[in-house]
Amino acid sequence: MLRSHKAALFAASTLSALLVLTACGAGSRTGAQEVDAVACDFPAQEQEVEVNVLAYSSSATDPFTNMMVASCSKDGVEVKHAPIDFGGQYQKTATTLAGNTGSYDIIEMYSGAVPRYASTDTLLALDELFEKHREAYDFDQLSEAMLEGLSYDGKLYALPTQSNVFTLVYREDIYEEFGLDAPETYADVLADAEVIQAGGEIKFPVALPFADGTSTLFEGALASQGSTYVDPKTGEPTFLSPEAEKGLNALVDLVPYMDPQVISFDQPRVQQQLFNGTAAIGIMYSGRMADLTNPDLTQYSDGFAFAPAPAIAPGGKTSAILSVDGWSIPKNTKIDPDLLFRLMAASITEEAAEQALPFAYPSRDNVVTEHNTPYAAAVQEALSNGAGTPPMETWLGTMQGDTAVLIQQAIIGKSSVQDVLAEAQKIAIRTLSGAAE
Amino acid sequence: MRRRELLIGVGPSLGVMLLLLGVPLIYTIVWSFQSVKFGAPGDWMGLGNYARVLQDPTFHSAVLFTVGFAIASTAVLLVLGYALATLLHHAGRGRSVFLGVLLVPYVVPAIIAATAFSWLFDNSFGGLVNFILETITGEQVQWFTNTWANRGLILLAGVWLGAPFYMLVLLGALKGVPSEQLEAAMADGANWWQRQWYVVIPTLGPMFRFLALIGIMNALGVFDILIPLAPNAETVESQSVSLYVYQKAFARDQQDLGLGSAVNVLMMLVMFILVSPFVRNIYREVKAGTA
Amino acid sequence: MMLQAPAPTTAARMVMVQPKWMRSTQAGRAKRTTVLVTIALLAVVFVAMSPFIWTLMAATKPTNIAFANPPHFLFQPTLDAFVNLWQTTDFYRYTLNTLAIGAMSVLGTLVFAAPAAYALSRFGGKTSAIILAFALLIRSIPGFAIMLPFYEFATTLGLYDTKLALTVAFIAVDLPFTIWLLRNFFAAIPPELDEAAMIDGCSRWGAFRRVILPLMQPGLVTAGLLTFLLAFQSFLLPVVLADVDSQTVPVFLSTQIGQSLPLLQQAAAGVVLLTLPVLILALLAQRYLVAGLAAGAVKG
Repeated sequence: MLRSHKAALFAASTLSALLVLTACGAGSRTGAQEVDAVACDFPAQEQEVEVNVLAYSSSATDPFTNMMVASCSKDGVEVKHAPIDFGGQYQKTATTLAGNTGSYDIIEMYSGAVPRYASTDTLLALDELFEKHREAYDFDQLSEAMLEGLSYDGKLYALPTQSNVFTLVYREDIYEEFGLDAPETYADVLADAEVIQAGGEIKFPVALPFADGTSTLFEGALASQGSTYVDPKTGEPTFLSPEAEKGLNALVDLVPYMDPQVISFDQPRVQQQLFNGTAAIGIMYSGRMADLTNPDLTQYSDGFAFAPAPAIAPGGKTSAILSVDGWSIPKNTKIDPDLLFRLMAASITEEAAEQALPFAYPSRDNVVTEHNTPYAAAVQEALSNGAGTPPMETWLGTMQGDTAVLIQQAIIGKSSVQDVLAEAQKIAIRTLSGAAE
Repeated sequence: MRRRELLIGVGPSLGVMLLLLGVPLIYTIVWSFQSVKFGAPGDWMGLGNYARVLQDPTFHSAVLFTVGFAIASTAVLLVLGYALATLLHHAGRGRSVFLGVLLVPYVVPAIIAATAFSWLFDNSFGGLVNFILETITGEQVQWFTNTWANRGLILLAGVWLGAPFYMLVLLGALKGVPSEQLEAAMADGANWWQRQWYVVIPTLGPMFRFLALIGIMNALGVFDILIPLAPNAETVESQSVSLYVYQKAFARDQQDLGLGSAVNVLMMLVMFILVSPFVRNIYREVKAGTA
Repeated sequence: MMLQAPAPTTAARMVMVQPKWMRSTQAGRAKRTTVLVTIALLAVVFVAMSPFIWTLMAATKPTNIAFANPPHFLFQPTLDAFVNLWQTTDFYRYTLNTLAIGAMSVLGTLVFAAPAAYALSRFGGKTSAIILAFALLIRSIPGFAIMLPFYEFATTLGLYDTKLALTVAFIAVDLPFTIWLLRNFFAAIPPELDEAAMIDGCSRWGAFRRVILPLMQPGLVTAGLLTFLLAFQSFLLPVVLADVDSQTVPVFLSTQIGQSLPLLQQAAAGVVLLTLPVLILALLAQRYLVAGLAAGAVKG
């Protein structure tokens, strides 16, 4: 008995020591200190208002989130945010919007998710608030393309923070070593990868985010040829078109030059491959690119260069896809939407946008120059070249999810390109008819 | 003890269980016959959910994987648990330290332990096991994208997480093996293996059967370890039935609650069938006052 | 309880029955066996702990080589990831949540389970048998069959993401198991004790409170510890019922494994922080843990 009491005493004191430690950490939040607060105007609140923000962590989203936390936690308002990965945001968005009450008051939204949540009437249309505050916040500066990328059925559902474009990154030092030029087409990527692989240093030079970006890669390949999931004329899915076959083949052709486990690579893993020097060419959203130039994260930070995502055919459009990120207000929040909108607007002022550089390509794109953003040229080129958002339709999410699994099977060689496309066509027809009901 | 006293003692607990477990169960059963989303009344659709789920190839592969995992992991765990228990049984000083440390993988929340486990095998994160394997064989195992390698990885993790429990229970049982019988067997000239086979294992028989039952039931519910270990669960066919329910009914925006509930009902029936002989035995023992 | 004093090993016992002339070689062999067993156990412990050791290494490496491939084995350790985890996230709050929910569910479960278990241990026959068999059957229900409706109730009642909802759910889920566990402990206390107390003027529940419960301390500690661990380990229940305010450590960490550096390294630090107390617990409160796991396994 004595022994156990001693043990219990020891356990208890260890626990309380642990709690004391915790209490020390409670006050300071360095994440929010990385930005200098900007003006955040709202009427002082009589009762404490706790604003919960759901936003995935990445070097491009963090500046806006941190800005909101740092600038607007005052006068009776407390803005709360916890770091979370993209998968976590995806799941929690679904659950918080499902019920009559949600846990979050401001939710990070992106182009691909807008249609399904806008069409189910779970997000607040922001047009009235936008007009009301247009002048005060000088919204005319905001990129027209980005506003469009967060609209559905003519209404705005999120206030754009920044724009992500699928962008190519490559190791310039290695390219120079082998006397290669920046790749412009998938055929270039293939040829370069062959040379680098033959060099023997890097076994699998290409890293693409097939875990979370399969549908985006495929949509990009279609877009490069002027196509999309659904033929606008016939209303039929396009998986049996020559463009789809060509696009998927371009991805499958890269298989010998990609890690055999590439379908398990989400963007953080692609990043890690580049950090570790085990890949020399990658395609990711532009918002993930600035990390690569951070010497604290990789010893190769000086070696990276950026280019538009490759085209399928020489001279064709780039295979870039635009995804606009922004702040949305769930309909089930209990907090005054006008207050929430002011917090959102404060985080994207010009002053805030400047601080987001070079991590993000902000919605006030007038602040971006090639000087302050290493990948700006690549993004601008992609934008001017007509990188578009994926089709803003309600069936988009289901279509992406279902076809991504099939395309992954083509990548790991479980099914042939023909079989995958035939099956995808069947599923797409079913999805479209389901959405029409 | 009088019946009234029994009711006073048991009543509150029974009430809590009926209210908090019974009512949800009824909801699940009703939902399984409906087309329904959270927060809204459903539409009756008869056996539609059952028909849909039984025709879904993704569900078929989830069932196959789950059953295979249950059988394989339980078999390996019984053997390994027995081996570890025997080792520990023969340990001299420091046994409790060994036992304590070996319990850690079992006590740490499974999803956390599985995450740490996955890093050993993940190339992107400098996986130690891959590094060793590649240094020795020059080959890479595709732990996450090859169907059988991924299933193997999940099995390894399941065994790693479950072994301490089997070890512990069998260690307790080993202490109950009568030493007279062992000594007698030894006097008859039986070697170590023969003693295990003819004396120890038969004595532990009931315990093995019991462990096999709970092992299979636990493994049929395998869910959280797959989140870090099977990032491509659907593509490489290493999705479990519970993960299927989680994805279909909760984590994605479609939230097909009717379909998920139908799977839950089917799963429950299977569990009841598995556990019923055991429950019947216990019922008889308690009634007879021998348990 | 079961592992306090190192019992004489089987090998040692065997020595005693050997003829004298064999004894020296037998003793030598026994010694060799012990050494071999110890070496084997050391190897097993190393393998079993390797994921945590590797995570500890990743968490203490400089960030730019934390997940390098091929991995670095020699490095200047740093605690930055731990400091950042404490300072930039609400990890302390998730820890408090986990502890609070665990403690409340222990209290609630024991309050309901102890009288039930006592009554069932003293009342044989058909009614008890049905109730106990029923409790066993409930244990085999898949978690989602209970938790998805729970989620619906919690959101409808405005209890979603509250510690109360989580605690209530844990009590409901843990009750059948705890009743079984405690019932077996109570059964080991001779009923004559209750009768003696009742003769002394105690009522049935007075005897329970004044005489039996104090005797049950080890059993209650064991059951409490196990109930706590169930709350601590659970992923399914808090992932369905909690979000911002009552998030627990395992669920928080599960939303960090898809992060990129430097946050991924903080996740590794979080894994280490969660493992350390478990190790301490396993070494210090081992007898309760072992008793609980073994007893729970045998009859639950």
